Amino acid sequence: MKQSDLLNYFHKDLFIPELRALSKDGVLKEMAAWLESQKKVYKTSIIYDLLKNREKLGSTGIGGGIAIPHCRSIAVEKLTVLFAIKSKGIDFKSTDKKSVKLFFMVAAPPQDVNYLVFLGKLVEVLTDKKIKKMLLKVKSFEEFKNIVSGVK
Amino acid sequence: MNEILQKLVMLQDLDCMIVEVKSKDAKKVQKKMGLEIKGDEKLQNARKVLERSIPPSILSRYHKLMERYGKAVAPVVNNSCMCCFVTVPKRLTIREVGNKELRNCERCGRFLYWV
Repeated sequence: MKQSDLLNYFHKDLFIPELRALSKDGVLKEMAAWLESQKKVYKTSIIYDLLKNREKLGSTGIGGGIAIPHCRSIAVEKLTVLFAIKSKGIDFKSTDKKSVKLFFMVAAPPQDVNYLVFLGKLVEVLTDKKIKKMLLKVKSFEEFKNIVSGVK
Repeated sequence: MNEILQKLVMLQDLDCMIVEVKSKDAKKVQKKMGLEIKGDEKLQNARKVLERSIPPSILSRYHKLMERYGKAVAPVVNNSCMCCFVTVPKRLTIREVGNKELRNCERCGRFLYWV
């Protein structure tokens, strides 16, 4: 998978420019509810509970102000990515203990073969120091797209 | 949405997560992400709690289906069971109607969940 292929999974209606939540659980709930509002899942609680269970295995905060909460569920029809920003940052119990500003929620059906490939590539891009520095200043979906596609 | 159906979906998703936690590929990706998986005990506990809230007769059917097919709940997409691809009855094309009651696929017997 190429870096530019990642963008095929991102959509403007699956972008939250500023999260209202003030806690880790709140972030997961708000993002899961957004998926329901966009008709990507039928019930918020299915995805929310699953993501909370995933967090019990260890935080999906990968450090550097980024978290990638992820799960497989039959509640989603295809690989779905929701990108959200919390500009003030939130304690997400990340590995480096830093607050998280950028959230990439990834949900895929159990049989999806691209799920792990996508996660791997996403992490590769997000941990690139130059890209990460630019992404942490992102305010709009267009800016995000330009950075990931290499325009900016 | 039918409460028991929702629990069955959650149970199958949890079972899927437990399998994935043990898979080498998934572990590799998680390691690449800089994440450490602390074992599946907490998932097993969550699973037990969920199981206790499902009526025994339905839970028994869930286990039998899991044993037979590896999946007990089948998603319905475009009016078809996504596990055996049989078309579901026309009156159940709307997901709000389909998910209102616990239903089984007429061919494979899996519980149906309208995505």
